[in-house]
Amino acid sequence: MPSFHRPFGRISATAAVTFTLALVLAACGSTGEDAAPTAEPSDATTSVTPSAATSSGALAGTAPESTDRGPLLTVTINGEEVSPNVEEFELGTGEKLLVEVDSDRAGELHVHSAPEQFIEFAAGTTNTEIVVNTPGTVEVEDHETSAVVAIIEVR
Amino acid sequence: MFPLILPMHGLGGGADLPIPASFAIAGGTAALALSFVVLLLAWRTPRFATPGGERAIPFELAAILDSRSWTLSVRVLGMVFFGFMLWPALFGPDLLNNPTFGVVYVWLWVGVVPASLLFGRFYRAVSPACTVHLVLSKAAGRQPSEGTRHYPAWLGYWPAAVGLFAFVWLELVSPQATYLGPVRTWFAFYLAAMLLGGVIFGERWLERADPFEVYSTLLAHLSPWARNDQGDLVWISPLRHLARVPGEPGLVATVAVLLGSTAYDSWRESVTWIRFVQSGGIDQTVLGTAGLLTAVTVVGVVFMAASMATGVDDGADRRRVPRQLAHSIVPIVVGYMVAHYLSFFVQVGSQTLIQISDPIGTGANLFGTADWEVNYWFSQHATLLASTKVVAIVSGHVLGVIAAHDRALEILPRRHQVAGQLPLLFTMVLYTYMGLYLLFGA
Repeated sequence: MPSFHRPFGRISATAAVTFTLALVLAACGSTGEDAAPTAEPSDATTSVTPSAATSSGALAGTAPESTDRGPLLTVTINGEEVSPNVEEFELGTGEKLLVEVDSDRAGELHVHSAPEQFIEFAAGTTNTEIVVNTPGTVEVEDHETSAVVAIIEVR
Repeated sequence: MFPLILPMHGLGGGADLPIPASFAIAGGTAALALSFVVLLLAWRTPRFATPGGERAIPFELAAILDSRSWTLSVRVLGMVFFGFMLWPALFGPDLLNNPTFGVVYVWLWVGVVPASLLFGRFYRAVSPACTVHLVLSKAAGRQPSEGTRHYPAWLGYWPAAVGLFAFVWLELVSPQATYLGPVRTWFAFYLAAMLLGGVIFGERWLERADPFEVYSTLLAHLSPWARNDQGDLVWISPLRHLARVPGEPGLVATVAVLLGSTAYDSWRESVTWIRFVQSGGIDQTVLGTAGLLTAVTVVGVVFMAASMATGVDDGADRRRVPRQLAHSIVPIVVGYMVAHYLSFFVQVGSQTLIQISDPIGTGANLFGTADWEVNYWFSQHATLLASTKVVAIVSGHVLGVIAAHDRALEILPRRHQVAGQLPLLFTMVLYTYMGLYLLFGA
C-alpha cells in the first residue's frame, strides 16, 4: 500500500520562512544601535567635596563634575547609611580610581576584583585609590554593611 | 533593625567582560531562528523515537565498569570525601576560607555538570545518601529498591523540584549563604529527608526526590553512557539519550527551577536590581525570594503555555504535552551553566583546592596545594570567555530546539507539524534573547 505523502503544507512552510526572515531583519536592524551597555559618561565622575581636611559630616554634592586628577568616588558613611547607591564607573585596566571616604567609623571597602582588594579607612576622611588590572565588572562595597557603593567596568 | 542591604560577599570575584552586546544578542537570536528553518526543511521524521542506535562498549571496558570492585571503589571514595568534608563543616572556623563553601557551591553545584556530562550518572555513583541507603537496606536484609510503600507515580519529580528550589534559595537568596550554620542545617535536613524517604519508598525516592541526583541524572542523559534493555552498558548519541528522559509529573517544574535560578543569578548582579534592593523599603531576603520565584515561575509558565499551544490532536490531553517536551530544556540549562559559571568554576574552584589543604585553618598543607595560586586565566582572556558564553547559550538552545522538534514530530499530527511548533519556537527565541541580554545587556 503506497504511503500517503502529503505536500509539506505550503502555507505552514511559508509562514515559518516569513517569520524567520522578519526575525533576521529585526536582528540586523538592531546591530545599528549603540553597542555600549554601560552608563552615560556623566556617571563616570562624582562631586567634589568641600575640603579634604575636614572630618565627618562633609556633604556629598549632587552635581557630577570631573576632577583634574581623574575619576573620583566619594563614599559617605553615617552609621548604617552608606552612599552612593551603586555609582557606575568605566575604567581602563591599570587606570586609577581616586577614592575619598568620609566616615563616622573605621571600616574597610571590599573591592571584588581578581584578585580582591581591601581598602581600610578610619573615622574621618581617608583618601586612597583603586587600581584594577584585570578586565571585568568589579563591585566595591562597604564591608560592614555590605552596601555596594560602586560598580566599575574595567576594560 | 538590621540594615536593608544586599550582601555581595561570599564567593564573588570579577564578573566578565561583554563583547558588543547588541551584536551578540541579535546574532544569537537569529542563529536560533535560522536553525529552526533548517530543521523544518531537513528533519522531517522523528529519529530518536526509533529503537536501536546504540553501540556496544568494548567488552573489557564494560567488564571493569560493571564490576563490583569498581562500583564499590567509587562509593568508598564518595563516602571518604564526604567524611573528610564533615571535618571542616563541623569543626572548622566559620570564615570564608572554610573549604565547605567552595565544595558545596562550586565543586558540587557547578562540578556536577561536567562530571555528569562526561561520566553519566555521576552523583548517583558517589552519593553519600545513596550509599547509606544501600548499607541500611543490607543491614535490614531487604532489597535497596524495596520500601515500605510504592513511590506514588503522581509525585514524579516534584520533590526534586522543591529540593532544588531550596538549594538555589540557600545559594542565591539567603543572607546566611556563606555562614556554616545554615549550610550545615540544610544538608542535615537533606540527608534526613533522603534516608527517611529511602526507607519508606525504596531507591525510587532517591531517583525522584534527591535534588542533586535528579539534576545529575538529567544531565547524564546528555552523556553517551547508557544501558540497553538487557542492562548492558552501551554508547549512544547524546540527543537520542536525551529523548529517553521520562516525561513524569514535576519535570517541567524541575527544569524551570534550574533555568530560572540561573536567570535570577544573572539578574541579581545587575546595577538596576542592586540599586532597587539597596534603596530601602522591603527586606532584601523577601525581595530576593520574590525575584527567584518570579524567574522560575515565568520560565515554567511560558514553557507550559507554549507547549500546550502546540497543535496536538483535539483528542490528546494538552496538559501532558509540556512534560513530553521538557527534556529539551536540559541542553539550555547546560548552556546557561557554562556561560554563567565557567570562569567562576575555574577561579573559585582553584581557590577551594587551595583551601582544602588547610581545612580547619590551622596553617596545614595536607595535600600540598596550600601554596598554589588562584587561577585567573579566564579573567585575563575576557574576549575568549565572552565568546564562549555566547557559543554556549546559542548551542544549548539549538540542541534544545532539535530535541523539541524531534519530539514534536512524534506527537504532532502531520498537518500541524510546522505551525504547531511556532509557539515553542517563539519561546525558545525569547529565552535565547533573555539569556544573552542578562549576560551582556543588563
